[in-house]
Amino acid sequence: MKAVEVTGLSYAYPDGTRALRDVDLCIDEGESVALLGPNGAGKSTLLLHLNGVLAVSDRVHIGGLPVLQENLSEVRRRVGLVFQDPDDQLFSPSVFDDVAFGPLNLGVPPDEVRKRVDAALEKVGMAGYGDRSPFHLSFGERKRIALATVLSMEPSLLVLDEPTSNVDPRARREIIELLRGMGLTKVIASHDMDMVAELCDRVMVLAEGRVVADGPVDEILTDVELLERNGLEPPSSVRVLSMLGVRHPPVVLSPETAREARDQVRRDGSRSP
Amino acid sequence: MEMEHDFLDKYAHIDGPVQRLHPHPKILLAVLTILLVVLTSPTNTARFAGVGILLALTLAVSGVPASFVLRRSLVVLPFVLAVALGAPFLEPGAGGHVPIVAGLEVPRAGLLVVWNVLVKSWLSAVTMLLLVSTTPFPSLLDGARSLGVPRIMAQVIAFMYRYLFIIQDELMRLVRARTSRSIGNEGFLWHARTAGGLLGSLFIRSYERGERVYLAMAARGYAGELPILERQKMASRDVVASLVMVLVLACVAGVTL
Repeated sequence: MKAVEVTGLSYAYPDGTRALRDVDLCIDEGESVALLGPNGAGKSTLLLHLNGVLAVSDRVHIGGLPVLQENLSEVRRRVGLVFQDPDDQLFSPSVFDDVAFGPLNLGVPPDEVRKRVDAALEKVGMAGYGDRSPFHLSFGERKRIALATVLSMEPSLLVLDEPTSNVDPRARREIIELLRGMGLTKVIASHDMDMVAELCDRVMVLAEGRVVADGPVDEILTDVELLERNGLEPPSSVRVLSMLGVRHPPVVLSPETAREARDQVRRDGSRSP
Repeated sequence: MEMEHDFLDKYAHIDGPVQRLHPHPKILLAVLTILLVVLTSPTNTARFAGVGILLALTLAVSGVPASFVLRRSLVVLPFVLAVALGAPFLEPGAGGHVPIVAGLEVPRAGLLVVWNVLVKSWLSAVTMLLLVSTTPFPSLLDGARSLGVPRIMAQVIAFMYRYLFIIQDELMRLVRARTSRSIGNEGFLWHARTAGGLLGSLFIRSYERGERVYLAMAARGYAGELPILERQKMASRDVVASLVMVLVLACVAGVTL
């Protein structure tokens, strides 16, 4: 069964803006898929459709279940949607209340809720922060708590809108490692190419509400022409290495891939432009 | 980038006996104390002293810095001053006049009124400040809600507590951006005109944030009811401690009858 199946989904906002045009999307269990595209391409709109908060549609299936009114409770349990601005997601006076909010809405019994809150906070490395108020926390901490608020619902699919935007490098690294450690199926909308390269195995490019590319991460992120045509840029390592004439530049630099690239440049140096 | 905000419950998370007490009896104790203070005759200084000593002891045990509470208790001063302005014009009555400074006499009854307002409002303010600075705000809300404050009120206060400072930060950023584009000699009219724009844009931002918050709530299964989970169960030591405190209050009231 597919984790996510979207067929021919279109959506226009009430003011007439057509945000999605005939979108097809199929995601297998365990996949990590990045959603790329310039601002206004429809990324967030697509994400919001995955658990039916913007509109319900039987063109969207989550784990085989159509996103219809009668399935909303189950769909929202399955799909953990993490918003870009943690201040939008964390509305309660305490961290505990926010992490407990989802499970309580699902009718989980109180003792089980307490267990889930502890487990979710533990998972994001924020154990013991339950009594704190969200605005006593740093932005990076709030981002992690926002993640915990959906983990407590024990979702099978994590949907993240810009998980690394506005955070400092250390907090960004922590979030990347956290997400890497989670075996869940993930859909990540982002402009952070290096993060996408590290975390995702597949990339979809959206432009003006349409899917214009869909493929393995090292194929899409090294296709400089495709990315630039859609207002995007490849990771800086890819740009540098392709300028140096490396034919298949690695999307993630590690000591090993860097050495290989260097050797290739040395070998082919005379032939490169 | 964000302002340093002044949180009333800054000391509510340190581990102390006052902080550990369940919020329900704590709220009730505070209300009882205030009732006792308010219902005391202004001449009964012994009882005011008794309550004052109790509050001082609680403050000492709680670990909240005295300066934190005392500085905030000054909030009652403007009200006392307002009353004091009227005091010289009261009917002198039996007490006659009391000289204050050379050439100024105040009726004794007026002094009593000022003293009455000063001591009662100050003791009540200290009691409330002790309550809110030793109880995390969410627990306070929980307590208030289960003691009969309407749910919708509690929700509105909860959202206010959460978003007030965020909106304040947003306003500060807007003002800063305006200032950075001004040259410093703009007149009152300019300020008034641009303030309108600032408020408008603050309103739109807040409105849009409200929509996003709602979406985020809906995404986690919100269907119009905020679920509650009481975070702290009442334990026997809460009951014992509260009964002891009520007894002590009753003693203070009785001894100073």
